[in-house]
Amino acid sequence: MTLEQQAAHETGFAENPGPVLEAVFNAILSERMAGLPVVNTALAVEAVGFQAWEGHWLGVLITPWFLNLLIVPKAGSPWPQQFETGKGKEVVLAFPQGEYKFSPRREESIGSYLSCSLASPVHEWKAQAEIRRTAEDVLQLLKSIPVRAIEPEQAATDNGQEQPASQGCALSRRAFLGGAGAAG
Amino acid sequence: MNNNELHKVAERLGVSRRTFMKFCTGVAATLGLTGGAGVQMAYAIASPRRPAVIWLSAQECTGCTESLLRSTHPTLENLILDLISLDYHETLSVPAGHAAEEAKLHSMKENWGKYVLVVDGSIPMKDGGIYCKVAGKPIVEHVREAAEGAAAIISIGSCASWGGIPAAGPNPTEATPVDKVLTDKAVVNIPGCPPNPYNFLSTVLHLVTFGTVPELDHLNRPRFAYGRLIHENCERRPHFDAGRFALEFGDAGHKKGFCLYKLGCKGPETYANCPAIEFGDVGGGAWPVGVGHPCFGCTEEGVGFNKPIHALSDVKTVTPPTTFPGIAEPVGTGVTPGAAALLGAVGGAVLGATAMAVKQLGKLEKDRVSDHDSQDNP
Repeated sequence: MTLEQQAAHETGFAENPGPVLEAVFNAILSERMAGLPVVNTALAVEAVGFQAWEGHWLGVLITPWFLNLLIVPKAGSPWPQQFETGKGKEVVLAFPQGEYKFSPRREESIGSYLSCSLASPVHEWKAQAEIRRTAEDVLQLLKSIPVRAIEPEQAATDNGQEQPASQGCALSRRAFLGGAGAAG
Repeated sequence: MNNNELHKVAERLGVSRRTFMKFCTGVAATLGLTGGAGVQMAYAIASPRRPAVIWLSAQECTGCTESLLRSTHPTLENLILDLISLDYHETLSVPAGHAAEEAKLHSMKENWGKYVLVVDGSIPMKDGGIYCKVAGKPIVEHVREAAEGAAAIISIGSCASWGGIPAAGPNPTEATPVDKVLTDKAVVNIPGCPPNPYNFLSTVLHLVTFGTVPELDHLNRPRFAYGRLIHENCERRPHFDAGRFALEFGDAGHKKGFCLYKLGCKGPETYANCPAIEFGDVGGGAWPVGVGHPCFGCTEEGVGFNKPIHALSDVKTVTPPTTFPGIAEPVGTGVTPGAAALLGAVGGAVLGATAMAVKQLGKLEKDRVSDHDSQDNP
């Protein structure tokens, strides 16, 4: 790790944090995780799809022992106090697809970040390409805006959560123009 | 049914109407249902028709009953005992001897086809079942008889669900789980040693309100409670991810609260909601991992009572992601169903937080929170 990268974690990452994350977790793999049954030896450490999202870096970190969704501070963006660590502390972030529970973390050489466990252990993935595909799909899903068809009687009962999964763009013209709440 | 009746039931339970409604909404949320279901539950509880429950104890230690009665939130046990008509329970029955047996038979006859059968403990099958007898008759006969007229059957605790301690090697009595004895019946398993009373209550509430049991997994455990690995929501998870482990009890890592995996924690192979609602409703952050002991795997078949405590979790029991609950699919993409299912399962886990908030209600009540329920509550 360069001095420049070292400095980055105090103020957030100006560049994609992927390479730093990979370096940190590769070191953990070789120093402390080697030989444990929770480690899936078919997999490698890989940071997938880190992109700026709402002012911070959102991406998925694959390691042979977990698959986590990460939010890492971006340089220049404020990092809220409630994202700092505390015993058993969790924050819930609402994405268009639903609410996800993140635990605030702090690691040397990374600094503060948020982590949401997608899976651990990760033995059900047999190859790196498989788990990378899952990671990419998760990010794509997470950033998508769900579109739901509105049935007239459902709109009348005003019970959004009970609606079935999306049916693509099968919105009626009326539902589209009226919006979800006003349809029917 | 009107507001007045809800008021009455709240009074009966010794809480405010608002607390009572919040509780029902919270239980509904834990079960993955919408707020409207909570209101339905409240009315179901207020209904004077209480389902009869026949509780049979086979080879057990009474821990399941104890945990139910010793919950730190009085609302829970009051609610359970208020919600059901516990017509037969060997530990709690007022009548004894022949009178108790008579009461059981009378209730079964009166409520044939409608009562709920709860069994704790495993059933010894060796030598005609003579190693556990009640009223001079092997318990297996009692269970079979009672199962015939039951609307629903619940195995509470690990002994009834998997065999538990009595079935651990060499299993001299051929201790058998309930669903292996009642092979032609649907049995809901609520494993745990003991299981959290909150999970039992939520299941019973679902049954009472909707007449059906909540969604079950492939081992017939309610999915809301046994849907995710303990490890996935563990408070020590940051240490696991970073490879920081306690190596011995009392070492520096143990004192710093590091991950207990190398001490034999079975969290990575045990499905239960202990990290969210803790253990046995003791409160105060008290669950095994919270107080520094590795998870023992009590809710998991073949783990608790079978693997040594110190043995490293070998992570065999992994639920394929395709069996996780789904989420809304986005438009025009070809993502793998596994990814959608994975994200759906992770999102669902947030509901544990609701259970936590609800569990605090008993405490709030003691703090005499002001109550304006007639104005601002539905």
